[in-house]
Amino acid sequence: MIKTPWNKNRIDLITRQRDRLYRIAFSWCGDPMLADDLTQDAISKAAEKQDQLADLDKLPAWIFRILHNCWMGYLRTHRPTLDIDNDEYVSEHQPEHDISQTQIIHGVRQAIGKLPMGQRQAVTLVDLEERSYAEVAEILDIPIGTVMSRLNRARTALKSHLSHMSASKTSGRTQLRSIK
Amino acid sequence: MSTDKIKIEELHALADGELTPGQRDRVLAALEHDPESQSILSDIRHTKELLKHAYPLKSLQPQHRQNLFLRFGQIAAILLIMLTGFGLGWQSAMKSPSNDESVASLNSILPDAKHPHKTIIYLGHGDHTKFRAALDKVQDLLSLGTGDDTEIFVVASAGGIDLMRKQTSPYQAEMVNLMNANKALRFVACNNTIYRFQQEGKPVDLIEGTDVAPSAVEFVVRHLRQGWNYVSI
Repeated sequence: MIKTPWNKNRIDLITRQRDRLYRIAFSWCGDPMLADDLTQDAISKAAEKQDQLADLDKLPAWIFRILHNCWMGYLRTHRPTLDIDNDEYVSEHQPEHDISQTQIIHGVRQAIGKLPMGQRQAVTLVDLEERSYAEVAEILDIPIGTVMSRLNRARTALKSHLSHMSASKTSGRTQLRSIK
Repeated sequence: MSTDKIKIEELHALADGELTPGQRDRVLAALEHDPESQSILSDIRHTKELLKHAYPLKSLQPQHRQNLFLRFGQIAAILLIMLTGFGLGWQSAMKSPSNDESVASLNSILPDAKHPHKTIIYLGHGDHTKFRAALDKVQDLLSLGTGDDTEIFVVASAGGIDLMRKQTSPYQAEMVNLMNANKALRFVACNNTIYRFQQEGKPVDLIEGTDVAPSAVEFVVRHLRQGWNYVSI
Protein backbone atom coordinates (compact mmCIF):
# COMPACT_ATOMS: atom_id res chain seq x y z
CA MET A 1 0.00 0.00 0.00
CA ILE A 2 1.05 3.57 -0.44
CA LYS A 3 2.59 5.04 2.66
CA THR A 4 2.66 8.58 3.84
CA PRO A 5 4.55 10.71 1.33
CA TRP A 6 8.08 11.59 2.25
CA ASN A 7 9.57 14.98 2.64
CA LYS A 8 11.91 15.73 -0.23
CA ASN A 9 14.38 17.22 2.22
CA ARG A 10 14.68 13.83 3.81
CA ILE A 11 15.38 12.25 0.45
CA ASP A 12 18.19 14.71 0.02
CA LEU A 13 19.52 14.01 3.50
CA ILE A 14 19.52 10.29 2.79
CA THR A 15 21.16 10.55 -0.58
CA ARG A 16 23.78 12.94 0.73
CA GLN A 17 25.07 10.07 2.87
CA ARG A 18 25.89 8.08 -0.25
CA ASP A 19 29.60 8.82 -0.42
CA ARG A 20 30.04 8.12 3.27
CA LEU A 21 28.08 4.91 3.03
CA TYR A 22 30.13 3.87 0.05
CA ARG A 23 33.42 4.55 1.81
CA ILE A 24 32.46 2.46 4.81
CA ALA A 25 30.98 -0.29 2.65
CA PHE A 26 34.16 -0.37 0.62
CA SER A 27 36.30 -0.55 3.74
CA TRP A 28 34.23 -3.49 4.95
CA CYS A 29 34.01 -5.54 1.77
CA GLY A 30 37.06 -4.33 -0.18
CA ASP A 31 35.18 -4.56 -3.46
CA PRO A 32 34.09 -1.34 -5.17
CA MET A 33 31.28 -2.99 -7.08
CA LEU A 34 29.90 -4.80 -4.08
CA ALA A 35 30.25 -1.60 -2.06
CA ASP A 36 28.11 0.14 -4.63
CA ASP A 37 25.47 -2.56 -4.37
CA LEU A 38 25.49 -2.37 -0.59
CA THR A 39 25.18 1.39 -0.73
CA GLN A 40 22.22 1.10 -3.05
CA ASP A 41 20.62 -1.46 -0.82
CA ALA A 42 21.10 0.71 2.27
CA ILE A 43 19.64 3.79 0.58
CA SER A 44 16.67 1.79 -0.65
CA LYS A 45 15.98 0.34 2.76
CA ALA A 46 16.38 3.75 4.35
CA ALA A 47 13.67 4.99 2.02
CA GLU A 48 11.43 2.10 2.99
CA LYS A 49 11.99 2.63 6.69
CA GLN A 50 11.57 6.36 6.67
CA ASP A 51 9.04 6.30 9.47
CA GLN A 52 11.51 4.68 11.85
CA LEU A 53 13.71 7.76 11.97
CA ALA A 54 12.13 10.16 14.40
CA ASP A 55 15.21 12.23 15.17
CA LEU A 56 17.14 13.54 12.18
CA ASP A 57 20.20 14.04 14.35
CA LYS A 58 20.44 10.28 14.49
CA LEU A 59 20.40 9.88 10.73
CA PRO A 60 24.10 8.92 10.38
CA ALA A 61 23.98 6.19 13.02
CA TRP A 62 20.61 5.01 11.74
CA ILE A 63 21.69 4.69 8.15
CA PHE A 64 25.00 3.04 9.05
CA ARG A 65 23.00 0.55 11.06
CA ILE A 66 21.02 -0.19 7.92
CA LEU A 67 24.24 -0.57 5.95
CA HIS A 68 25.54 -2.94 8.61
CA ASN A 69 22.40 -5.04 8.30
CA CYS A 70 22.76 -5.10 4.52
CA TRP A 71 26.35 -6.25 4.87
CA MET A 72 25.44 -8.93 7.38
CA GLY A 73 22.67 -10.08 5.06
CA TYR A 74 25.11 -10.34 2.20
CA LEU A 75 27.58 -12.31 4.30
CA ARG A 76 24.88 -14.67 5.48
CA THR A 77 23.95 -15.35 1.89
CA HIS A 78 27.42 -15.67 0.49
CA ARG A 79 29.42 -16.85 3.47
CA PRO A 80 27.07 -18.79 5.70
CA THR A 81 29.81 -20.00 8.05
CA LEU A 82 31.27 -16.59 8.72
CA ASP A 83 32.18 -15.90 12.31
CA ILE A 84 31.91 -12.19 12.78
CA ASP A 85 34.47 -12.06 15.57
CA ASN A 86 36.98 -14.59 14.39
CA ASP A 87 36.94 -14.55 10.67
CA GLU A 88 40.31 -13.77 9.18
CA TYR A 89 40.55 -12.61 5.62
CA VAL A 90 43.50 -14.19 3.92
CA SER A 91 45.48 -12.06 1.57
CA GLU A 92 47.32 -13.47 -1.37
CA HIS A 93 50.05 -10.89 -0.97
CA GLN A 94 52.82 -10.74 1.54
CA PRO A 95 53.46 -7.51 3.42
CA GLU A 96 56.87 -7.23 1.86
CA HIS A 97 55.18 -6.57 -1.44
CA ASP A 98 53.50 -3.45 -0.18
CA ILE A 99 56.30 -1.39 1.22
CA SER A 100 56.76 1.01 -1.63
CA GLN A 101 55.56 4.55 -1.28
CA THR A 102 53.10 4.14 -4.10
CA GLN A 103 51.41 1.15 -2.47
CA ILE A 104 50.75 2.55 0.97
CA ILE A 105 47.05 2.88 0.32
CA HIS A 106 46.79 -0.66 -0.93
CA GLY A 107 48.82 -1.85 2.03
CA VAL A 108 46.47 -0.22 4.50
CA ARG A 109 43.44 -1.60 2.74
CA GLN A 110 45.05 -5.00 2.72
CA ALA A 111 45.68 -4.75 6.44
CA ILE A 112 42.07 -3.73 7.02
CA GLY A 113 40.99 -6.71 4.95
CA LYS A 114 42.92 -9.03 7.22
CA LEU A 115 41.02 -7.93 10.31
CA PRO A 116 38.14 -10.00 11.63
CA MET A 117 34.93 -8.41 10.44
CA GLY A 118 33.79 -7.13 13.81
CA GLN A 119 37.09 -5.36 14.37
CA ARG A 120 37.10 -4.01 10.84
CA GLN A 121 33.67 -2.49 11.27
CA ALA A 122 34.48 -0.92 14.62
CA VAL A 123 37.75 0.65 13.58
CA THR A 124 36.43 2.02 10.29
CA LEU A 125 33.35 3.53 11.87
CA VAL A 126 35.45 5.23 14.53
CA ASP A 127 38.44 6.26 12.45
CA LEU A 128 36.82 7.06 9.12
CA GLU A 129 33.37 8.18 10.16
CA GLU A 130 34.41 9.48 13.57
CA ARG A 131 31.37 7.89 15.12
CA SER A 132 31.32 7.83 18.89
CA TYR A 133 31.70 4.58 20.77
CA ALA A 134 28.04 4.78 21.75
CA GLU A 135 26.98 5.22 18.15
CA VAL A 136 29.14 2.33 16.98
CA ALA A 137 27.64 0.17 19.70
CA GLU A 138 24.19 1.08 18.43
CA ILE A 139 25.10 0.55 14.78
CA LEU A 140 26.65 -2.86 15.35
CA ASP A 141 24.27 -3.81 18.16
CA ILE A 142 27.02 -4.63 20.61
CA PRO A 143 28.00 -3.29 24.05
CA ILE A 144 30.29 -0.27 24.24
CA GLY A 145 32.85 -2.43 26.02
CA THR A 146 32.93 -4.71 23.01
CA VAL A 147 33.46 -1.71 20.75
CA MET A 148 36.44 -0.69 22.84
CA SER A 149 37.96 -4.15 22.93
CA ARG A 150 37.50 -4.57 19.18
CA LEU A 151 39.15 -1.21 18.61
CA ASN A 152 42.08 -2.18 20.76
CA ARG A 153 42.54 -5.49 18.99
CA ALA A 154 42.05 -3.96 15.56
CA ARG A 155 44.61 -1.25 16.11
CA THR A 156 47.08 -3.67 17.61
CA ALA A 157 46.72 -5.90 14.57
CA LEU A 158 46.95 -2.97 12.19
CA LYS A 159 50.09 -1.78 13.89
CA SER A 160 51.59 -5.19 13.37
CA HIS A 161 50.52 -5.35 9.74
CA LEU A 162 51.65 -1.82 9.01
CA SER A 163 54.87 -1.66 10.96
CA HIS A 164 56.92 -2.38 7.84
CA MET A 165 55.08 0.39 6.09
CA SER A 166 55.81 2.93 8.79
CA ALA A 167 59.50 2.16 8.64
CA SER A 168 59.53 2.43 4.89
CA LYS A 169 57.39 5.51 4.75
CA THR A 170 58.91 7.66 7.40
CA SER A 171 62.21 6.05 8.32
CA GLY A 172 61.01 6.27 11.86
CA ARG A 173 57.81 6.36 13.83
CA THR A 174 55.64 9.39 13.96
CA GLN A 175 56.69 11.43 16.91
CA LEU A 176 54.28 12.23 19.71
CA ARG A 177 52.72 15.56 19.01
CA SER A 178 51.79 18.07 21.59
CA ILE A 179 48.51 16.98 23.08
CA LYS A 180 48.02 19.74 25.57
CA MET B 1 49.80 15.54 38.84
CA SER B 2 48.57 12.01 38.74
CA THR B 3 50.79 8.99 38.67
CA ASP B 4 47.97 6.55 37.89
CA LYS B 5 48.82 3.88 35.38
CA ILE B 6 47.17 4.68 32.10
CA LYS B 7 44.94 1.95 30.73
CA ILE B 8 45.16 1.08 27.07
CA GLU B 9 41.44 1.79 26.69
CA GLU B 10 42.05 5.30 27.95
CA LEU B 11 44.65 5.91 25.28
CA HIS B 12 42.25 4.81 22.59
CA ALA B 13 39.53 6.93 24.12
CA LEU B 14 41.87 9.92 24.25
CA ALA B 15 42.76 9.53 20.60
CA ASP B 16 39.09 9.17 19.73
CA GLY B 17 37.90 12.13 21.77
CA GLU B 18 35.86 9.93 24.07
CA LEU B 19 37.19 11.15 27.40
CA THR B 20 35.45 13.65 29.61
CA PRO B 21 37.43 16.83 30.32
CA GLY B 22 38.38 15.49 33.72
CA GLN B 23 39.49 12.15 32.41
CA ARG B 24 41.41 13.82 29.64
CA ASP B 25 43.32 16.06 32.03
CA ARG B 26 44.25 13.10 34.18
CA VAL B 27 45.49 11.02 31.26
CA LEU B 28 47.43 13.91 29.78
CA ALA B 29 49.12 14.53 33.09
CA ALA B 30 50.02 10.89 33.46
CA LEU B 31 51.34 10.77 29.91
CA GLU B 32 54.02 13.31 30.77
CA HIS B 33 55.85 10.65 32.71
CA ASP B 34 54.92 7.55 30.74
CA PRO B 35 57.02 7.13 27.57
CA GLU B 36 55.52 3.71 26.88
CA SER B 37 52.00 5.14 26.82
CA GLN B 38 53.22 8.02 24.71
CA SER B 39 54.50 5.52 22.19
CA ILE B 40 51.26 3.57 22.18
CA LEU B 41 49.25 6.77 21.73
CA SER B 42 51.50 7.75 18.87
CA ASP B 43 50.89 4.39 17.22
CA ILE B 44 47.14 4.77 17.63
CA ARG B 45 47.18 8.19 16.04
CA HIS B 46 49.47 7.05 13.29
CA THR B 47 47.12 4.18 12.49
CA LYS B 48 44.13 6.53 12.42
CA GLU B 49 45.96 8.79 10.01
CA LEU B 50 46.88 5.89 7.76
CA LEU B 51 43.26 4.76 7.61
CA LYS B 52 42.04 8.18 6.62
CA HIS B 53 44.78 8.37 4.05
CA ALA B 54 43.74 5.02 2.58
CA TYR B 55 40.02 5.80 2.44
CA PRO B 56 39.65 9.45 1.46
CA LEU B 57 36.01 10.43 1.39
CA LYS B 58 36.08 12.68 -1.63
CA SER B 59 38.04 10.63 -4.10
CA LEU B 60 36.85 7.09 -3.47
CA GLN B 61 33.54 6.96 -5.19
CA PRO B 62 34.05 9.63 -7.86
CA GLN B 63 37.22 7.89 -8.98
CA HIS B 64 35.46 4.57 -8.91
CA ARG B 65 32.59 5.94 -10.92
CA GLN B 66 34.85 7.72 -13.32
CA ASN B 67 36.68 4.49 -14.03
CA LEU B 68 33.41 2.73 -14.59
CA PHE B 69 32.25 5.39 -16.92
CA LEU B 70 35.38 5.12 -18.94
CA ARG B 71 35.05 1.38 -19.01
CA PHE B 72 31.41 1.40 -19.99
CA GLY B 73 31.22 4.91 -21.35
CA GLN B 74 29.36 4.13 -24.53
CA ILE B 75 26.73 2.07 -22.81
CA ALA B 76 26.26 4.70 -20.14
CA ALA B 77 25.91 7.53 -22.62
CA ILE B 78 23.38 5.67 -24.77
CA LEU B 79 21.33 4.68 -21.77
CA LEU B 80 21.34 8.12 -20.25
CA ILE B 81 20.12 9.63 -23.49
CA MET B 82 17.50 6.93 -23.83
CA LEU B 83 16.29 7.19 -20.27
CA THR B 84 16.03 10.96 -20.27
CA GLY B 85 14.19 10.79 -23.58
CA PHE B 86 11.12 9.10 -22.19
CA GLY B 87 7.88 11.00 -22.38
CA LEU B 88 6.76 12.83 -19.30
CA GLY B 89 3.46 13.33 -17.63
CA TRP B 90 0.55 11.17 -16.63
CA GLN B 91 -3.04 11.53 -17.60
CA SER B 92 -4.86 9.42 -15.14
CA ALA B 93 -4.83 9.13 -11.42
CA MET B 94 -2.94 6.22 -10.00
CA LYS B 95 -4.83 3.60 -8.10
CA SER B 96 -3.32 1.80 -5.20
CA PRO B 97 -1.40 -0.87 -7.04
CA SER B 98 -0.82 -3.46 -4.43
CA ASN B 99 -2.95 -6.15 -2.95
CA ASP B 100 -0.03 -8.50 -2.95
CA GLU B 101 1.22 -9.25 0.53
CA SER B 102 4.43 -10.66 -0.86
CA VAL B 103 5.49 -7.21 -1.95
CA ALA B 104 7.48 -5.68 0.82
CA SER B 105 6.34 -2.11 0.52
CA LEU B 106 5.30 0.67 -1.74
CA ASN B 107 6.36 4.17 -0.94
CA SER B 108 5.20 7.29 -2.57
CA ILE B 109 8.43 9.06 -1.90
CA LEU B 110 7.53 12.56 -2.84
CA PRO B 111 4.45 14.30 -1.51
CA ASP B 112 3.74 16.13 -4.72
CA ALA B 113 5.03 13.58 -7.18
CA LYS B 114 5.50 15.11 -10.57
CA HIS B 115 5.00 11.71 -12.12
CA PRO B 116 2.73 9.84 -9.76
CA HIS B 117 2.28 6.92 -12.13
CA LYS B 118 5.87 6.35 -12.98
CA THR B 119 7.24 3.56 -10.88
CA ILE B 120 10.58 2.00 -10.15
CA ILE B 121 10.49 -1.54 -8.83
CA TYR B 122 13.79 -2.34 -7.18
CA LEU B 123 15.00 -5.89 -6.81
CA GLY B 124 18.15 -6.54 -4.81
CA HIS B 125 17.93 -10.22 -3.90
CA GLY B 126 18.23 -13.41 -5.89
CA ASP B 127 15.15 -14.98 -4.42
CA HIS B 128 12.79 -16.58 -6.94
CA THR B 129 9.83 -15.74 -4.76
CA LYS B 130 10.81 -12.10 -5.04
CA PHE B 131 11.26 -12.46 -8.78
CA ARG B 132 7.69 -13.70 -9.01
CA ALA B 133 6.52 -10.88 -6.75
CA ALA B 134 8.26 -8.31 -8.95
CA LEU B 135 6.60 -9.61 -12.11
CA ASP B 136 3.24 -9.78 -10.36
CA LYS B 137 3.73 -6.18 -9.34
CA VAL B 138 4.50 -5.27 -12.94
CA GLN B 139 1.30 -6.93 -14.06
CA ASP B 140 -0.57 -5.19 -11.30
CA LEU B 141 0.69 -1.78 -12.35
CA LEU B 142 0.17 -2.41 -16.04
CA SER B 143 -3.41 -3.43 -15.39
CA LEU B 144 -4.07 0.05 -14.07
CA GLY B 145 -3.53 1.56 -17.46
CA THR B 146 -1.08 1.49 -20.30
CA GLY B 147 -1.35 4.95 -21.73
CA ASP B 148 1.52 6.77 -23.34
CA ASP B 149 2.49 8.18 -19.98
CA THR B 150 2.94 4.90 -18.19
CA GLU B 151 6.50 3.97 -17.28
CA ILE B 152 7.65 1.10 -15.15
CA PHE B 153 11.29 0.31 -14.58
CA VAL B 154 12.31 -2.91 -12.90
CA VAL B 155 15.79 -2.12 -11.62
CA ALA B 156 18.00 -4.92 -10.35
CA SER B 157 21.33 -5.01 -8.61
CA ALA B 158 23.20 -7.56 -6.51
CA GLY B 159 21.35 -10.91 -6.48
CA GLY B 160 18.32 -9.37 -8.11
CA ILE B 161 20.13 -9.28 -11.41
CA ASP B 162 19.62 -13.03 -11.70
CA LEU B 163 16.09 -12.25 -12.84
CA MET B 164 17.58 -10.68 -15.95
CA ARG B 165 20.33 -13.20 -16.66
CA LYS B 166 19.56 -15.81 -19.28
CA GLN B 167 21.60 -18.26 -17.24
CA THR B 168 19.45 -17.91 -14.14
CA SER B 169 16.10 -16.32 -14.89
CA PRO B 170 13.15 -18.65 -14.55
CA TYR B 171 10.89 -16.11 -16.23
CA GLN B 172 12.72 -15.26 -19.42
CA ALA B 173 9.82 -15.94 -21.81
CA GLU B 174 7.36 -14.09 -19.63
CA MET B 175 9.63 -11.05 -19.41
CA VAL B 176 10.18 -10.93 -23.16
CA ASN B 177 6.45 -11.17 -23.74
CA LEU B 178 5.80 -8.41 -21.23
CA MET B 179 8.35 -6.11 -22.82
CA ASN B 180 7.05 -6.79 -26.32
CA ALA B 181 3.49 -6.07 -25.26
CA ASN B 182 4.24 -3.00 -23.14
CA LYS B 183 6.53 -0.24 -24.29
CA ALA B 184 6.08 1.29 -20.86
CA LEU B 185 8.03 -1.51 -19.24
CA ARG B 186 11.80 -1.66 -18.98
CA PHE B 187 14.06 -4.04 -17.17
CA VAL B 188 17.26 -2.35 -16.07
CA ALA B 189 20.35 -4.12 -14.76
CA CYS B 190 23.08 -2.46 -12.71
CA ASN B 191 26.35 -2.37 -14.58
CA ASN B 192 28.36 -2.36 -11.37
CA THR B 193 26.81 -5.67 -10.44
CA ILE B 194 27.41 -7.04 -13.93
CA TYR B 195 31.05 -6.11 -13.66
CA ARG B 196 31.33 -7.69 -10.23
CA PHE B 197 29.67 -10.88 -11.40
CA GLN B 198 32.09 -11.07 -14.29
CA GLN B 199 35.01 -10.55 -11.94
CA GLU B 200 33.70 -13.45 -9.90
CA GLY B 201 33.54 -15.62 -12.99
CA LYS B 202 29.76 -15.52 -13.31
CA PRO B 203 28.71 -14.99 -16.93
CA VAL B 204 26.09 -12.31 -17.44
CA ASP B 205 24.09 -12.70 -20.61
CA LEU B 206 21.10 -10.44 -20.21
CA ILE B 207 17.68 -11.28 -21.55
CA GLU B 208 17.08 -9.54 -24.83
CA GLY B 209 15.64 -6.09 -24.32
CA THR B 210 17.13 -5.59 -20.88
CA ASP B 211 18.78 -2.23 -20.39
CA VAL B 212 21.87 -1.48 -18.38
CA ALA B 213 22.35 1.48 -16.06
CA PRO B 214 25.85 2.42 -14.97
CA SER B 215 24.84 2.33 -11.32
CA ALA B 216 21.58 1.28 -9.72
CA VAL B 217 22.30 3.74 -6.95
CA GLU B 218 22.38 6.76 -9.16
CA PHE B 219 19.57 5.49 -11.36
CA VAL B 220 17.12 4.97 -8.54
CA VAL B 221 18.06 8.12 -6.68
CA ARG B 222 17.75 10.22 -9.80
CA HIS B 223 14.27 8.93 -10.54
CA LEU B 224 13.12 9.31 -6.98
CA ARG B 225 14.17 12.90 -7.11
CA GLN B 226 12.21 13.33 -10.32
CA GLY B 227 9.06 12.24 -8.55
CA TRP B 228 8.78 8.57 -9.40
CA ASN B 229 7.12 6.08 -7.11
CA TYR B 230 9.26 3.40 -5.61
CA VAL B 231 8.56 -0.23 -4.84
CA SER B 232 11.10 -2.43 -3.14
CA ILE B 233 10.60 -6.15 -3.51
